[in-house]
Amino acid sequence: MRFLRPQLACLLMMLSPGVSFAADWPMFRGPNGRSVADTQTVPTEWSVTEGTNIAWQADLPGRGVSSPIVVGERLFLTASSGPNRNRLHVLAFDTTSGKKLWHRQMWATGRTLCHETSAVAAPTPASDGSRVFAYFSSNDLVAFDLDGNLLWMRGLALDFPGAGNDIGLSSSPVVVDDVVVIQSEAQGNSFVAAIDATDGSTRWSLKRPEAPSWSSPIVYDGEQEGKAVQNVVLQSSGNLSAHRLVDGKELWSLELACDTIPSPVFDKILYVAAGGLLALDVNNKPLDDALVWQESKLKAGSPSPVILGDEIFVINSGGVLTCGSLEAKRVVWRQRLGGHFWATPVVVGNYLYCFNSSGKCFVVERGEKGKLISEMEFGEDILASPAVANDAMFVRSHQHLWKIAN
Amino acid sequence: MTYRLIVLFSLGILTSAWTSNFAYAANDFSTALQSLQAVEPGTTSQAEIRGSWEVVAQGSAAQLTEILAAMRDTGPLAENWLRAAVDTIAERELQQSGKLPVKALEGFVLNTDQPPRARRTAYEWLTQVDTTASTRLLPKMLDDASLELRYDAVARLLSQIENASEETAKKTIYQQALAAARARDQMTLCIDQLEKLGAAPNLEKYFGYVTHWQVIGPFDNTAGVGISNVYPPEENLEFEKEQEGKSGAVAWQAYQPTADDLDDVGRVDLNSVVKEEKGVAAYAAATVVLASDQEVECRYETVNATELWVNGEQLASDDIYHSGGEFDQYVVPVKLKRGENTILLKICQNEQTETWARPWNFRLRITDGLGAGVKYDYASGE
Repeated sequence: MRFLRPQLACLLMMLSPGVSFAADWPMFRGPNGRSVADTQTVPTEWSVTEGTNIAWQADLPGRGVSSPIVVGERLFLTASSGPNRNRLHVLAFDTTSGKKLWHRQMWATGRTLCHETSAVAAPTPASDGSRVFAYFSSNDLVAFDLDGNLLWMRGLALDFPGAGNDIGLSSSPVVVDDVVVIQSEAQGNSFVAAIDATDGSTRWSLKRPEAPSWSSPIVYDGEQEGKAVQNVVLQSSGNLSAHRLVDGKELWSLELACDTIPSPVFDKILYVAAGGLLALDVNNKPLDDALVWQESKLKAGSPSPVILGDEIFVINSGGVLTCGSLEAKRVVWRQRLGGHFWATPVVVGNYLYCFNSSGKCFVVERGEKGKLISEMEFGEDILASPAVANDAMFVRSHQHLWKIAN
Repeated sequence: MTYRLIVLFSLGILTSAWTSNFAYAANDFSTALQSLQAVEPGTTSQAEIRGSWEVVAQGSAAQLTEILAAMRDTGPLAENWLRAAVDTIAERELQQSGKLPVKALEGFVLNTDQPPRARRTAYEWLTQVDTTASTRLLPKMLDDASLELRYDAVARLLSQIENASEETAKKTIYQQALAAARARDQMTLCIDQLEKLGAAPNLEKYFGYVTHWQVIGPFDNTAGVGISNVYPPEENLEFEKEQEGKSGAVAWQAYQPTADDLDDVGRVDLNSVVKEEKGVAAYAAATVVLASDQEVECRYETVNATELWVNGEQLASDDIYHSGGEFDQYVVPVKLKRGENTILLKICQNEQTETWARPWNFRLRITDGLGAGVKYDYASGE
């Protein structure tokens, strides 16, 4: 692995998590993109057919593999429909009753081809607590307030001609400090753009490697010359880099063969799926010396790694869930679940909820051995990662949205 | 008399003030509507777009059809802004009064001079308040210019299969639906069913797939240079002449794909026609003859990088490899002339060695603007 010199001579970054909404699930993988709701409780068993612990179920107007997000008592979701997949939907539901609060539609302005298992509604929306930013594989980006009033919309495929991926894009946006970061990487026109959350104008954009990547950007707090700065991490097939959120200026860059589907995770250390797991202490060490752990046995499939405290969880392409100890730097246990997984698992309380693409959920107890507690079937394909908020878990298929709660 | 004059004079002042306010507001609305119509990426600031949209979205239900009509000849972004304004007004009106101007909306839907997406939007709002509208309107929309309305019309026709007990009746319904369908799933359904009923259509003719090709290759595409390199076929189509290929002389060869199943009709497999090799490019040329000038679309699918020329003019270039391939993946509008027209496609295979990177093929069809195969002949001798 070769390391390039960082752009700046001195690079000191302070460890701290990003923006956090305690009871909300405001983006892909929830608060700080960690897929952790360890202070909450949801049932470990339910039945869709019998309605046990299913608070409500709602019909959806189109396909989607995007995750729901939750802000307060509202859930937001995207879908796509039509024979050409070019009808885009943004919906809001009341989390208590399941009632649809509003439904907005528009036509895609970019390419709408995608893999048959996916959808144009693949990226998960993001919220800053007062606005919802919905992004689609067609490179359409639209902003609403929480009541569904349109704020602005962008057809980024029109601004970046040739952008798009006929297998589909799925990188989810992240919003921090009034900036929405969009990563759109594929053969052809490939870019990252920082969009002003207030009016939809472009703050900055960068050309990106012309190769497909479906991983999502993350933002973490750093420090530069004594000042707190927000940094965006971008993961591509041959490169990992960090950029200042405020202006896109590159802070550091590594030539690195990264996986192109699972997304990075930051928890004091930057964890990246790259043919196994790489742990990089980019805050406290010079870049040349940032590697603190490399473990090929923690190879992620499509789901992103999940980290809580000392534990790291990955699901590989064979459907095997592996738990590692970050401190001991070793694999602790493995649990064969079965099936193929797209959804990133979520930690809720003492349990890990893992959804395979056939619609089976495996509930695994955390701890020394990783005990399989229960298995539940949804009867429909589940490719989207769940959302957890207010002691409830929200799961979507192409056809339905469920609230799982006691 | 004096009193009357005072009253009339006062009324005149008030009317003038009211009229001028109304004229001012109307000018604001018209100006804002025109601004929204003109929205193009990079030409209008987001703040200006938002300002115009806010004015239009404050319009009344009586202005819905005016906003819908403004979708004519607009860009895709403008269409969405206008639609959002329509949705906002209609939703507000429904919440406040429970009504919409159904007569105006229906008239708009039925007016085929209006933009297709605008008519579809009007239809969606109409059907929210008039549950009989779909039953009344859809039967007339099998040949509609709005693909979304047409799709629903075909779906409604297909739903009548349940009531058809005789094979003849079923065949008629599927044939009628197939003639109207432009969406892949509906076309596939009808074709499958007609095949079972022993009435399979000629897929080549139905879709408009080009099946008379001249093919030459391989030329060099090492490290992807093929897409930008200019090889002789791009400069001159001399079918009798050999050219210098990647590894020696290459010659044009006539090729007519014979597959007649839905997945492969019209498909030219270059691994078979040229030879299976990595880092190569090939050209496929066809000469089609039209009875009159026609605006058409060249629709093609491939997992390889391609460039398209029609009558010597380059119309498309897509340097994309093994990133999905699907029916009508690329759609290129083109004006064909009466008589002979030459289509030239360059198809490049890269050097990825994975099994999924093996395919090197394409198929191309010529359609009208809605996706129906057009009629054409091939130049004599082909």
